[in-house]
Amino acid sequence: MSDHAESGVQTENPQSCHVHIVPIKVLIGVFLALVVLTIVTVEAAKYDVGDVDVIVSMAIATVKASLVVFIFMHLWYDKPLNRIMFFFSIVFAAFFLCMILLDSHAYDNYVKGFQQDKTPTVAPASPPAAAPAKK
Amino acid sequence: MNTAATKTTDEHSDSHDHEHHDSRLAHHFDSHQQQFDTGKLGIWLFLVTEVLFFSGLFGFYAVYRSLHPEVFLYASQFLDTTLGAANTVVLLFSSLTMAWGVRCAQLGQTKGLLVCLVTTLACAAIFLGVKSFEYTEKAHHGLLWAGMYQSPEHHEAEAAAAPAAGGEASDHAHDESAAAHDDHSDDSLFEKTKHTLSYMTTVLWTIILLSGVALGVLIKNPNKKTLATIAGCFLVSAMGMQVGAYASIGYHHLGHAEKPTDEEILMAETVPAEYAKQKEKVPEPELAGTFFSVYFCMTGLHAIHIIGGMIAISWLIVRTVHGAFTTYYFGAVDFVGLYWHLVDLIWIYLFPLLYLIN
Repeated sequence: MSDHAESGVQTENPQSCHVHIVPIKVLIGVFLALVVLTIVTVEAAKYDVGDVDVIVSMAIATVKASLVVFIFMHLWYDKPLNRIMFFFSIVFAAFFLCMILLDSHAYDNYVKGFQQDKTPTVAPASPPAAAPAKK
Repeated sequence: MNTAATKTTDEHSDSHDHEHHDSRLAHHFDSHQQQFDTGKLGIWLFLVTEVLFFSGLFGFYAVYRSLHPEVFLYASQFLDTTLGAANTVVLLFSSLTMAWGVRCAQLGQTKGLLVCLVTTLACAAIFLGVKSFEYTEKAHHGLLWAGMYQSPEHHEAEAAAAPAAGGEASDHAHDESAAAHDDHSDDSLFEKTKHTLSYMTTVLWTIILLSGVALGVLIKNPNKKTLATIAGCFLVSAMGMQVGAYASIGYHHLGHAEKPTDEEILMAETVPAEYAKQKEKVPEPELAGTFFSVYFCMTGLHAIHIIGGMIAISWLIVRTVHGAFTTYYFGAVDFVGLYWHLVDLIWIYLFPLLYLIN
């Protein structure tokens, strides 16, 4: 029965499971906040704010996502291991997205140069396309 | 000899650990707390793989949008923001009921848990119903993935060409298509969409009828609890989809009504005239179909997750009916709930990324 000593804290009654129970008021409050944020993001999208709109809508989405993750998914009250795991999955997903964005824009100058080369020659489309591939 | 020895040790330990009689506790766990924590770690690991799985598609989106922003500007105008927002709220509500269900399970309120799970299932079905309307409408407008994509401008050109083609071919089919092309307006496409959806609603009515009858017959038989519950789950899902599909058809009827609704007036005021001009000025970009590739990949994968979640919730409902969950054994409810919230989470990002591009 040395295993019992390892699992430590809650040994007295094995038929118990101590978890954080979220009050109903908090749940409904979070839901209302999510609905309000949805309306805000829809309304915000109607205004033309240029390039910022992606950032604005993503910021609102992230606020909504953190409400869901922390309250509905109990991550705020959860074990540190679960929190770290999810946190790092988000970090690595962000890292992945940044890397492929960097990579796909690394060749912008080549593409621009290729398109500038291509525009004067109208008829033979395939020879210039093949040329950069050989290099 | 050997088996006899193990048997005696088992009996020996059983006489000491009364919890080993508990069918809810797997034999390799010491306590329910340990079992719950282990399961929770497992489901979080699964959610991590889900996040990384979807991030591939988000990468597809990010690269394509950064390279061709004009395609997204052009193509997202064909998505209905109101339907998308309504679906978002439905999904958020299902998340609320799921979280509430987990709370009920933790407190041992079986009835509350059942109500919450059924509501969640119904909301998921409503989501799918609205989505099926959206998909059908897109298909009739020719707004499909790259390769199948037909430009919306294409319809007008075809309509002009149709009378010429109708002269030489006296086929019945050709006549019909020519007639259809004559007014390739939004209204006729809407009629077609409704027609296609009527197949789905017929099937759903059949399912509702069959599962309703099955539920009515089986519910009195205590030995057929599982079957009755499954019939009930089918009934709720089919009804939810029906509600979603009819609500979106009704919403479109509202949009096509002669009297402008308050919302339309509001839209007309908030959406400036320059938007309409801009729409004409911006020519259809090449590769517009790729936006719909992104759209169908991401929403399709999300819809598959919704269906998976519905199956999991139905499984929970069956177990709840059998009284499987108690104050110390509710792991399955919590874990399916976590999965469901993740599906909701992905939609929270998909909605602004696909529908709200201005």
